Amino acid sequence: MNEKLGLGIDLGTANLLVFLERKGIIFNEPSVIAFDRESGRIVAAGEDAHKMLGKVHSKIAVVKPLRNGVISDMRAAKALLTYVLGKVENLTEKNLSKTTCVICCPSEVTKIERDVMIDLAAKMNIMDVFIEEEIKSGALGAGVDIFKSKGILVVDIGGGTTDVGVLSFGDIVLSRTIRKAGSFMDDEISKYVKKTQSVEIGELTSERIKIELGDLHDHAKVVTNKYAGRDMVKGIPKWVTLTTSEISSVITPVFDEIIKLISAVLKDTPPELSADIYQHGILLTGGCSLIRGIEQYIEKRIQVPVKVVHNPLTCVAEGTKYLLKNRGDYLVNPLQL
Amino acid sequence: MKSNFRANTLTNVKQGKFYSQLGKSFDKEKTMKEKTNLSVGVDLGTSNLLIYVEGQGTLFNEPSIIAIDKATGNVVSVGNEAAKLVGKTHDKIEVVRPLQGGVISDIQLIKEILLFTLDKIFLSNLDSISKMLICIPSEITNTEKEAIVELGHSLGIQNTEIEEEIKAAALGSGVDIFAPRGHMVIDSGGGTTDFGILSLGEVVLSKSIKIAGDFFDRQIIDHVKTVHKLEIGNQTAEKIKITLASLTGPYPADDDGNLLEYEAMGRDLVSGLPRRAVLGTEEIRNVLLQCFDPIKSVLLTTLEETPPELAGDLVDTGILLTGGGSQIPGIREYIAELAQVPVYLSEVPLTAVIDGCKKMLKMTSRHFYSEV
Repeated sequence: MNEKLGLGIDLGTANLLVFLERKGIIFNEPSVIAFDRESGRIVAAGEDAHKMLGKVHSKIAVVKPLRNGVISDMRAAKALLTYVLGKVENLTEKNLSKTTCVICCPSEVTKIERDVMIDLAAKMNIMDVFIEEEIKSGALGAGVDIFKSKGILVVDIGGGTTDVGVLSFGDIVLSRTIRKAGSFMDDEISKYVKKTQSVEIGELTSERIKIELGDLHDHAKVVTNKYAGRDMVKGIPKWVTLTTSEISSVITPVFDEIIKLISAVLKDTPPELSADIYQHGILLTGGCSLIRGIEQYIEKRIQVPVKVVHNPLTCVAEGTKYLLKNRGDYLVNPLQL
Repeated sequence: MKSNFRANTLTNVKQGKFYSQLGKSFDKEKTMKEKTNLSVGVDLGTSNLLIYVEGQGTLFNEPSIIAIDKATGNVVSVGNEAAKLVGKTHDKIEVVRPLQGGVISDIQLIKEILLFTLDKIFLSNLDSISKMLICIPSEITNTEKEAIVELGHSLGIQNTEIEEEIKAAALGSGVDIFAPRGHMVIDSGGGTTDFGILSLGEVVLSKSIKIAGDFFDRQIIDHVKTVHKLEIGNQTAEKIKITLASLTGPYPADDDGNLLEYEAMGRDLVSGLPRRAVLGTEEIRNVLLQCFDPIKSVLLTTLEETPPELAGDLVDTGILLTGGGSQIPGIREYIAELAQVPVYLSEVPLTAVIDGCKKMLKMTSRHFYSEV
């Protein structure tokens, strides 16, 4: 193993994906980690730790290392990455020091926030690091040739941030971010349930509600489901009944803001590229693009065809495969290598 | 070889000193061997003391009562025998419940009671115990906890651990507490009623109220005193409770459908003469319902403080009732109506804690559901 290893990391607020050259995606689980408070040992990570959210006793701390798309807990982020890389066979620290690593981040993050990500890799003993924007990687991972002089609009609605960007000739022309996405919708849902039914629900439940009932179709089939929470008045556990129409009334304001953002980006797009976008449409990636009816919803308001990519959850990590080949250089087309 | 050995022994007998040394080392070897073997679980309940010895089962299950000779301070009896003495002794003997109300009133007495019972179950050689797990009520203070660990050390058992009864009770009743799912357990014992929310193998939240079996007995005594003008003893009160108690639903009746009655013997308050009074099921239910009012409010505060995600789980997993109090007819319906969740009764209400203790002794890790 004398060759340099390539490592691609999509450090998302909701999910962590790690791509390792020659092995493919080696980790695709929620970015949550659980520590034992006393000894500091890792109790669980990924899926297992995610299930523990809101359900632990005082001896375990469940931490989400990322908030709104950026690292908020360095120690936890490092522990999570170490845990993931530790699971890979035949990967020693020596190999890591010879690794080229690409970390994907939301579009509008500050220099400091980017430095924190490089710092994280340095702490893992990875010296050769570069940061790329998620939308670029996402478009590549979805199999779009971004190296032509053709404008592409990508909308990535993830867990912590929504990124909107225009790509042309292998790089980003302009991009914008709002820190409203999946987890913001979860919060809105739990606020809504609290306000209308006086029932408190947990993080996991509100996420499940969004996945099961989120529907943006105009005349969506009405689905009713029961969820458990705690009655705020009486204090006892209680079922709440929620319908698709209620949930869509909660999440549409969030999508309206996303649409505002898309319009803002389109307004600033050079006219030549606008024409391309009008022809080829908008690409949707990220976990929230799995919400039913999102294509029609945006299409109706922006008047441009919208398409959800075939792999919205993994495209960013898959895109790192190409980025590792050209190190983000727009002149080198990795698709032809 | 054999003759050689004999010759050796012969010379050793002559050198008496050497021989005794040899004997000592033999003894030492023997205890070392035993030391690796035994783990002991102790349920230090308010009303009952249970001791489990690994490989031998629950060897002791008797009231945690101790009778002491006042003059010498010697232990007269422990457990059932001491329980029979309650209210019937002359003043040379003192009968004590060292865990009155779920708190440790006298650590020395607990040591005595432990030593006496361990001796009773032929475990007088404390060196042979390698690990001791003591289950204690939930709201015991840290100082008291330390005192108990200290007690274990003073008995020569270095590996003394303490767990909350509520956790052991859940484990012993067969609840899988190691999954990331909320469970609620109510353990209504002798001195305290404990409420616990468990998840991932550990207590998330627990509350305790000093209203349980003993308190019910006292309330029954008061009731008989005020209504029937009759003074009755603790033992009679407990029997009344066991025969007549109910909380909701039909009153307890015999096979022919006649409501149960109990003839309580005691002393007339006015005349001072022995007398009997007939007690019905209805009056006992009213007494109990009054006792359950504070239990009700603690149950509600526990549920209020439960993190919402876990409270949501309770709708599915329900509440588990264990301890002697869970045998009161109608308690299940009573709690279910209050909390609006399914309520289950433990199949082993009286031994749940010690069964859980047994399981915990076998476990090496403490509160992880999946070791990384």
